[in-house]
Amino acid sequence: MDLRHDWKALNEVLFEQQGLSATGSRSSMVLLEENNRIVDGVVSNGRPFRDVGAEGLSLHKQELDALALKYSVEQAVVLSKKSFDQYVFEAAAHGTNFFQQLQTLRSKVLSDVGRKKDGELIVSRRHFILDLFGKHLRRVLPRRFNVLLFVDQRPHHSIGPQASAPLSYRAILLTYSDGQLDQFFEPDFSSLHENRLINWPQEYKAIGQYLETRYILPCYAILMNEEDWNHCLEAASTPENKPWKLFVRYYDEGKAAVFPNHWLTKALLATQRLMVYFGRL
Amino acid sequence: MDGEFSRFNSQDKTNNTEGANRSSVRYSSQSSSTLKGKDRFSQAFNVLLNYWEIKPSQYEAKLHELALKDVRVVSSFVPWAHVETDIYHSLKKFVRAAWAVKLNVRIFVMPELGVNYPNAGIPKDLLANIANLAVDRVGRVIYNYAAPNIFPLPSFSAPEVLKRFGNYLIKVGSILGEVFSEVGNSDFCEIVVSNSLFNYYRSYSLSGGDHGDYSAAHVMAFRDFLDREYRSAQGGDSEQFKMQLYEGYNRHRFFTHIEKLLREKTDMVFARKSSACNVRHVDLFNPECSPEAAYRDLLIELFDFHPSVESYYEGVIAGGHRSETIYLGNSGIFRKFIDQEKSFLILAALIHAGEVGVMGEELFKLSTTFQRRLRSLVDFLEERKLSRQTRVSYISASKFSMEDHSFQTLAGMAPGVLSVVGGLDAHSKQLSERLIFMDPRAVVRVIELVQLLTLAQAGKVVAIPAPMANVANYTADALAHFDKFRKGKQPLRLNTGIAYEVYEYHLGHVVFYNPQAFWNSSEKPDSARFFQALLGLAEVKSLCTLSDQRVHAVSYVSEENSTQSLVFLINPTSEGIEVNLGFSNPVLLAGVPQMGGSVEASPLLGKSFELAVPARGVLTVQLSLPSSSEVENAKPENEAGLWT
Repeated sequence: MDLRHDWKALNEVLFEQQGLSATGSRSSMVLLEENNRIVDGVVSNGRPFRDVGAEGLSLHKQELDALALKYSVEQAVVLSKKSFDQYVFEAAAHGTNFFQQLQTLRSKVLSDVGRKKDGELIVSRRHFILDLFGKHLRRVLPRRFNVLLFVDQRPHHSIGPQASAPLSYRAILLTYSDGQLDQFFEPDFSSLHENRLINWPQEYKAIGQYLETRYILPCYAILMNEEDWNHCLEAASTPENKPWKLFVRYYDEGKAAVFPNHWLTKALLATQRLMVYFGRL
Repeated sequence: MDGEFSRFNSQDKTNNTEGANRSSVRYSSQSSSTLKGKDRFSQAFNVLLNYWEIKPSQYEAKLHELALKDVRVVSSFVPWAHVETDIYHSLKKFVRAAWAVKLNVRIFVMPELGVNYPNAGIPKDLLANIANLAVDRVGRVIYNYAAPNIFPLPSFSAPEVLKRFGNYLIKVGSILGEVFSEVGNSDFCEIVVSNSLFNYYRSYSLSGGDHGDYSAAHVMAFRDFLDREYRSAQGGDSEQFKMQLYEGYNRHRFFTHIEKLLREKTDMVFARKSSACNVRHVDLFNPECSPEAAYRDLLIELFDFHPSVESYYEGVIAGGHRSETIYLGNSGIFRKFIDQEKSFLILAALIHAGEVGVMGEELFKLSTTFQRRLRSLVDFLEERKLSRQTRVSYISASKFSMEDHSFQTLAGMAPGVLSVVGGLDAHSKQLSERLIFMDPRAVVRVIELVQLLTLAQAGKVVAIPAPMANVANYTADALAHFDKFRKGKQPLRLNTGIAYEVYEYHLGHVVFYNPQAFWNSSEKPDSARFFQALLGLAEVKSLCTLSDQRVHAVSYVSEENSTQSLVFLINPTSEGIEVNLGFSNPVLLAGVPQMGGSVEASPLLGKSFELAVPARGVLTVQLSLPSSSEVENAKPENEAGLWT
């Protein structure tokens, strides 16, 4: 269980329920060009790219538009294979952290095509949890810390000490270092009494403290039911993008828990409540 | 112990050749397993479980879940780095748990790309030393671009890598040995030795001819290999085969050789008394780690695009050509497919390759209807003894070094029945095989010539390049044997763009063809009629014709009755296709029970059928030859019917 970069678990817990770009945002096509010749390409809608060998597309916008039309996509972007190779080698320096490797590649490619402001081309793996801890709270959080995301897969009515259904959950521990996602893996709860997890709405504090002791890092934890979690993911994929609004509601109803419940958490939740209130006005 | 894995030197080769001769291990993906109580489903499906992702205390529960789903054999990869650092003794506990729940266990010991472990299990520190890395034909380090992360591939010729790999295998052997002595049995465990990274030693955009690891360590071992290979040939002409002209061919023979050597050394570890268990050899291929898919799949991850089923399916076909087991992992882009697409790809991989490795959690997440269909298909193939037919074997120096023009032409003329074999050593005799074609760019040695003639004796048509006037392609002893073979025989001499001679030889035929035209890279030879003639001589006929090239046909023929066959019409596109299935003679066409066919309908007689193949779907039909009375009684209107 020494998997510190569990790519599969990261995707299963954070991204599995998210719709793919083919169904959501603008459809795109990305082509790789070498010596003025297309060497490979991908289409966001899942159509196979069959025009390897096409020449001069980056020089003639009309031809590029015609190709986009052929594949029923709204935009086509041409990347230089030489530059892309260079970015890949730079990204490889992140070792076994595929998440950071892809983040590095994305940012390099974005700055390369000069579309950073648009944000339309890239259907990046943004996630409201990752954004919160990696961006918004970066300045107020410690240099290194853990974030637990615990999703209870039992039905709502089965949660609690009198639960009838057996415990079933997905959990991932995200280790942040200097605002970057450094490690991601399934936490080891082997030394924690199972009743703590079964009764997480009451025991969230003990769970958080256990993880702080186990991994010797400050820990922040978000615990909720799978159904509510899916609603938050759905809310994040809508144009309004307000998953936290839903989360606060679940938290107020006692269906979600946060650790530690100190001034920062309270301030954030209060801010969110105010935003919801003024949003209604 | 270390010395066993330290170098691919001549001493090793001599010893291991002897060892290989004694060994009963077959180097084929079709070698039969010796696991007791194995059913056809277990053979066709490697139901994978990543034991390192689960807490050891949960092994029994997880395995019990699989057992309840009627899984009898559970398979698992062993991440190299995990074994080295595993303080929880997970592998031991996993194998012991499998024994406790009465499941057989299949352990894949070679490093495989796409396994959900950092660097696919390859130790990180090995990759930090540039001397350990594989290098492509043009001198660039070869990278893996697919999940679980981007990393450079190690070279199996680097002494440090080999030594460490040897120690890892010995550790796995001792772990298993401990379990076997505890439970007093090793029959429930099978070691799978695969081709590991050898399928992936190529950077994107390089052709198959440039496949291979060209690292410095490799170059030294290659020189040794050349000296050894051509030193033994009689006469003084052998030095010429070390020239630049033959380098591509020699390189590929060398790649095949070292892959074989690594497998033999792995066998040796599991042949020890303490850790002896069944060893099986397969060639494994993960389509998403293929060098051709490198950029495509990385861009899909990068931009979160939906992957293309058709592109993935093309990778499956390529693996099927090379008779490789298809591994469909769920950490890479395969996870992005929706369930219907996953079902289609699993089924297509099973049909093309005959064996699939798929994660248990992935397989049992799919609909129960699909799982039932899979089982009934496998049972049906078992019951009727239907197997994939290889009618044509293309023998080349390695599985990637086929002469492009001849291979493409043959593949086009014999779709679905052509198989590539890397070297004659890897060739396994198959009853269905009719034509054996030796690559025109091969250097023929006496040992190969004798082997090929033996195959012809057994009733096959064997096409061998004849000696050339301008460029030497026979060693002196092979040339002497060739002359001896021809002496006193009156062949049929023909020229259909390619000049060739046909010899009747015992039960089969030997064809010596002039390979000169294939050595000229600038001009494409007019070889279509030559290949048609070869296929005609071998009686290899296209089973059927399809009106739409987007639909692929794969046939399985009964081992007991060759007039009974099963045809799979595979549509990888997103739209349903109406296709005309044509035959040269009338056939009886019927559905297959519980596989989407209408079992109640009586068989249709005809030469042409209009069939609707669903999008991302497989239509399965049974074919048989009608009796003369059935043909006479058939009404004319039955000759072309709509059958779905």
